[in-house]
Amino acid sequence: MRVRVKLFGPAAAAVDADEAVVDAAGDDGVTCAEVVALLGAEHPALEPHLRSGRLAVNHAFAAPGNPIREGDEVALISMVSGG
Amino acid sequence: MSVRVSIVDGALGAGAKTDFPGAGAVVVFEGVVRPTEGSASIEALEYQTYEPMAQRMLERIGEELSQRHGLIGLDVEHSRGRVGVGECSFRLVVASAHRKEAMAAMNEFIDLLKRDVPIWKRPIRAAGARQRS
Repeated sequence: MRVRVKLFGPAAAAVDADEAVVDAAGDDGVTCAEVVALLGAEHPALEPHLRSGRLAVNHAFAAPGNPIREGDEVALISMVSGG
Repeated sequence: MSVRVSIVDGALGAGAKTDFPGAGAVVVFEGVVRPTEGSASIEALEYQTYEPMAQRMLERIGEELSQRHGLIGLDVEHSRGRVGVGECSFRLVVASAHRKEAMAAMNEFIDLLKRDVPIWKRPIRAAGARQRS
């Protein structure tokens, strides 16, 4: 299953892109933790942002064990700096 | 209890909503762009938002704090895009019967925004040179 992860702020700057794509084995879903591991392996420059950030699925923070299914919107929310 | 969230382009306009019927305390906080970021002089900050999630989270934080602190109203505005030094990029208005709950909610809201809400700022140095943060 192909998972597109939206990137923002310093994470986007680290890879000079607003999206990172990983291919997870299997078609019936993957966990957030698995996507984080794949991102780190395939995009090493994201590693510090993966450690300090969290994945959001469909506009809500998701726990590592949360599943990601086809059609879900996924984003890496790295250290924020609003306000 | 009313909660209003606005994310707008550029600097926030002057004037805060302070008309909250029944309120004995209306607390206004404005975040203004400083002339330095770290030790570097800047001319502006550029704000990026993950808008659907930022909007949703600001509403949820506002509703939760309004309920917990018994507020009369809460109004939050945040900029997206470029905001110059000295201009306002964030405004929070909290209204309650008495000041204690308004000030407590104000502090808690800002702490939660700075910890969780998907908004990022990038400093823009003088003469338009952009610094990746």
